[in-house]
Amino acid sequence: MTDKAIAAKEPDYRFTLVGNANVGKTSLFNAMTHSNDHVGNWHGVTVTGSRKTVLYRHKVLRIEDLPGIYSLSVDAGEEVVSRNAVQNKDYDAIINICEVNNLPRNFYLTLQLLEMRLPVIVGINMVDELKRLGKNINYRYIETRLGVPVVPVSAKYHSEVHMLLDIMLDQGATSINDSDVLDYLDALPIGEVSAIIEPNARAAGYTDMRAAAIKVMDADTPMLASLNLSADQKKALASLGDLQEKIAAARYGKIDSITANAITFSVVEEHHEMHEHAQHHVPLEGEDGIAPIAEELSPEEIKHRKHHNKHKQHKQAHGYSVADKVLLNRYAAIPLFLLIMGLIFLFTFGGFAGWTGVGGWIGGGLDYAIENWIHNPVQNGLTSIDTPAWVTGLLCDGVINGVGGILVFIPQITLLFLFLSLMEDSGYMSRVAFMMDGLFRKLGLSGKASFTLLMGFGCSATAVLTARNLEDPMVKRKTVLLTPFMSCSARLPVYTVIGGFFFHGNGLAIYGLYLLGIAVALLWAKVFDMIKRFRSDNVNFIMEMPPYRLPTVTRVLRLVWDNIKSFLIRVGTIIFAVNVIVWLLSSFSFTQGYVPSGEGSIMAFIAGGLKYLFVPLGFGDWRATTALLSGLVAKEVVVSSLESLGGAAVFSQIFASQASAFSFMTFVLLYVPCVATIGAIAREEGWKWAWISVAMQLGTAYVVSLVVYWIGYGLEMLTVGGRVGVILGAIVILAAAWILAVLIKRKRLCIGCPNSVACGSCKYNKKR
Amino acid sequence: MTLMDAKVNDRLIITKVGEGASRRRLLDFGFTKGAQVRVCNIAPFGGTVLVSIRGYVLALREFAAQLIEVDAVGEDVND
Repeated sequence: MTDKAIAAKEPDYRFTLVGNANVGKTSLFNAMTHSNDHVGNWHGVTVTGSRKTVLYRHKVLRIEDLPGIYSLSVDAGEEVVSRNAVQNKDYDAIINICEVNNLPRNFYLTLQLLEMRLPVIVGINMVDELKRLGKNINYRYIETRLGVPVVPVSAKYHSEVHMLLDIMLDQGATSINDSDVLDYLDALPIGEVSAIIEPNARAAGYTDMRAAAIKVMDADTPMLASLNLSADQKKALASLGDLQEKIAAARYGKIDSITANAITFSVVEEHHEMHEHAQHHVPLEGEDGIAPIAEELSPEEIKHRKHHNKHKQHKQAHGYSVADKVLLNRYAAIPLFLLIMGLIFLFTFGGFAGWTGVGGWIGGGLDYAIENWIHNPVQNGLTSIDTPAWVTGLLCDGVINGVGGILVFIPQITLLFLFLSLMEDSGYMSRVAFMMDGLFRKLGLSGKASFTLLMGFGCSATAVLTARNLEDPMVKRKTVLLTPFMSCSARLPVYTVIGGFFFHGNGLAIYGLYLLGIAVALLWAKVFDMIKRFRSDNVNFIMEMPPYRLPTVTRVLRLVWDNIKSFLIRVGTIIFAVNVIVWLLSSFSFTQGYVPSGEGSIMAFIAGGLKYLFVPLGFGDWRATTALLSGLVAKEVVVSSLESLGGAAVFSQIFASQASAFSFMTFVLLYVPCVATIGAIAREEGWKWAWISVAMQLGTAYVVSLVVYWIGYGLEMLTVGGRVGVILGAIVILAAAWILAVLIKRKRLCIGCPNSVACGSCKYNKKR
Repeated sequence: MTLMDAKVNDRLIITKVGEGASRRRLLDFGFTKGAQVRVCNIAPFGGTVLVSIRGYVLALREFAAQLIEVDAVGEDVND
């Protein structure tokens, strides 16, 4: 049966994956459904639910993946998607995925699901990590305490995923008996709460009074809104004490009693422990390989076991490792981050002392191959059989040179994506968010925005979509507007081709553009922060640090292949099509037919009208204008258009000087990235903001290019010594201005502050 | 004192989680009365701390961290 035919069938079973962020739901989803959705060691990679129907053991299963959720009481963000999906009950069972290293917080959600009497199967993921530490999970014991099926799995191993699928099928339709499991609710004033809210709850259509009372205790916003309680009722509830704290503490009390005995040590480790604790003589596991449950142990044994587990837990501080002591060191963290980014860029692009980077080196080989093995033989072949000149031109200049000019960038773009995903998968990206948070807060953003902005180096359109996991709507809007200024990989070919021609492969030109993009984004952030309606003070920032993980080879290879594949598809479809259109329009005139030089062509006529706009920027040439126009579709097209309009041979005609070439590259860096990005912005923020962002990008590009061109123009007038003098002078003046500004600010804002290093973040800062 | 006043590597016990926008989140994440916390790290620019609670690590901004009132406990016997 084809995938399509399966998808069209009515499912026999419907399962929904629910769990905390970054516990491997999408990995499991991919393993169950043989799909390849994007996963990463970062919370909130999945921003919308996705569904897939598969055939398993002659049954049609519909499996749904949801964004991570920590609690059923949430107010904002992608978690609402998950909460609504849980409450709408469009499933036969919830597969609650928990992560073995972080059971307490994961079980918090599990208990909430059980309180709502939902059909749950618990899958405990990443047990392979536990086994490596010489530990075992007593899933049967957890099963007795939770009263629902518990399955240990590793999304990496298919056999275990199949086991989970089998148990899902066997248990899918059975519901649970929760009276013993939820015993901690007895100590809570559930009865009192339901008595107070019952009339309103009945009126609002709730039938399960316990569930309604629990939601009220959780101060669940939609529940409280639907109940519409009177002032007296609210007062009565308030008299019952701090309900929110009580129910959270009760759940964690229950969880502690479960997790204290959930994890034990395997035989090898046990042997070692026996030597260490020879005097205790306490078996770590029962005879059947399952640890005896707490009730069967004497108080002394329980004490020993707790001590034992604690001892081991501290050895392995989860989520904060030795590496963090260095990578997150207060003084070393930022320099190390810059060093890592620098090495990534150097490795990918090169640019110093003749080193072209691994990407450039492979790309150079591709370039040679295309020129000598494809372009030249085809051209010679076509010429020798007297093909009309325009056909040869279309094939060789329009298609082979245009498309080939883009193909050679596959290695560089792939490497950049690879490094970005390694940063994400390893868990380093979360550390970056943490260390940048202070800086980003001063700009009215959140550290989490650093993820979106860094992904912007890869692809603006996909990066914009990742902004969805920023909780604060203002922070999200600003991040979405700033992301297009980060130089995406599609702009790289422009820098390499034009920069390579005018700056002889000097890496400073490329790195300068990347830094310029960052500077413009930060500057805009500062501007937004000064506008009242964009303000977002005191933004909630709570983010989990995932443990460092080693990405698997298959995942990395798959990622590389996916990237190459999607790039090839773009080259083969949209870039090819735009190229052919641009070539045809710029090679034929209205009156004279084929014009090889392009002078007098239709495109020259259209772009010729617009080119005067760019005269002040230093590139008032119809070919540059054409490249920019076609680049609106996708930025790679800027280069392929220039290639098919004559390539390097005409560069010195188009750009009068280094200043005008750099001004052109600056414009490419800052103007509208591509149609897809505008679409993505519209999807996140609506069309109004998409158009605002277009205006912002065009305006910024124009102004900055203008400034860059005239500074460059001025510098070109000077001798080498004069240039150095001007640059040094500018640096000194800027530094002086900055120091002055800091001094003035410190005096004014933080009176009495003894800690001037962390200025702007300490408690004295509140006095302003 | 609040979590913001604590020093790195102090072992602390939560005495209260105050009223504020982040309260629900903090309770859901296990910052309940009596739970043990430790400040692992302070961000380079300040204002954000890494806190270890219930066996995992969380980044908190001052805004949320100052809602958490804590008492110091001595050195952990297991260290």
